Amino acid sequence: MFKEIIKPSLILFLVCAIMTGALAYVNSVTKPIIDENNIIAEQESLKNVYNDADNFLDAKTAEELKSEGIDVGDNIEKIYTAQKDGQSVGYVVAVFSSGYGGQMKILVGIDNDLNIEGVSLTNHNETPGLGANAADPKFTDQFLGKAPETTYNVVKSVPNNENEIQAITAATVTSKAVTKGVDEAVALVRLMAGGA
Amino acid sequence: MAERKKSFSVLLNGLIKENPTFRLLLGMCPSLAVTTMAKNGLGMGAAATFVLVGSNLVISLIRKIVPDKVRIPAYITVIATFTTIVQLLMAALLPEINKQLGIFIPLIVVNCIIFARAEMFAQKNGPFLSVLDGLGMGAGFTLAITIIGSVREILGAGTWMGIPVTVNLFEPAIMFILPPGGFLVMGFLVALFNKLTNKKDRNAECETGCGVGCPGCSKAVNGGEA
Repeated sequence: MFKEIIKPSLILFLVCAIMTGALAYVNSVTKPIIDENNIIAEQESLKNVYNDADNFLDAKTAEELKSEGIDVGDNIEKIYTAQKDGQSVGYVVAVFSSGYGGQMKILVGIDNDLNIEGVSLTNHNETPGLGANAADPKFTDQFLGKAPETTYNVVKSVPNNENEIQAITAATVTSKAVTKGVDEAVALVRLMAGGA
Repeated sequence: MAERKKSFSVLLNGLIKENPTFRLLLGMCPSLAVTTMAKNGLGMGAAATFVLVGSNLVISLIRKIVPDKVRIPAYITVIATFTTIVQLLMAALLPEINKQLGIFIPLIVVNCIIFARAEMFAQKNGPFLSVLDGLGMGAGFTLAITIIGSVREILGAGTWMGIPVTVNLFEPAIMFILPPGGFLVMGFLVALFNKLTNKKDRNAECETGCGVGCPGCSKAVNGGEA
């Protein structure tokens, strides 16, 4: 009885207990560093799409906005307020969109006059060499400047109008997904900035 | 003297003669999945080596205390602990590489190289030799997946470690960084590795019942592939 059941259980219990102790120790050492890394990474990715701002307020989630009576699109994750010299100058919107390789996360920096300050893909699973090129400034810089009154149009030739975005060759699904995300972000900021 | 010679051969074993990727064909999943860039191969290899050395050491230390019955859960606990430690360390110290390797770091737990070495080596040898075995096997795995990563990155993206090297000599073939390219490069490299390693040596190994490292001979290995 002892040899068959109790002894193996006790030893397994001991092994687990010691290993858990070791993990708890490593976690206590690394957790503050990891948290700090995440905050730095977040601030940097925000700065990336809104270079002009010097401070970003804590984000409001889509639920919080809804409870304030603002009509939020389904794919909005959260919205940060961008500040410069203590004044609110615009927003950074985190929005999800369905690409070719699943959900991707897009950050869009928009100022109060609805000028696009920057677009970046922070998380995606698009095909390397094809859809992944959507993260390239060559593609995302097409959005910079005044946002259109309605929505962007994805075209396959060289764009003629301000609101036309040239799709990446062999990655139309990705191009359309990014564009849809930016459209949704613009729509939200248009509401927040009071229809300016 | 003989002792020293043995340690040396244990260390070198994993590099060529029993290279885990090219000779034992263990750990195929990360070998194919993360090797789109040479840098990823290096990072993955380093992480797996850390886990291998740590788990081999602890398992060889507790091998006489742990009853056979609970051997497997005890070993998995040890391996999972080291994997979580390496994940936390990478998130803290190398956040960039950690982001690139993503899910494959936690999956080291089920990487069959680690478990195979625990069962085939650490369980039967002392702590010193087990650490050497972990180092050798880890180095062999790192070497193998860095080579695969280099070939795929150069052919598929025209860069090495992120530096452009082909200078427009040819148009990079995207296929090599996509999954089919992984299988192709892997197949050719295994063939090349078999061609280059000593043929006589290989035959001798098979006569003695496939040596210690043959994955088909160990009951523990087959179920372990990730």
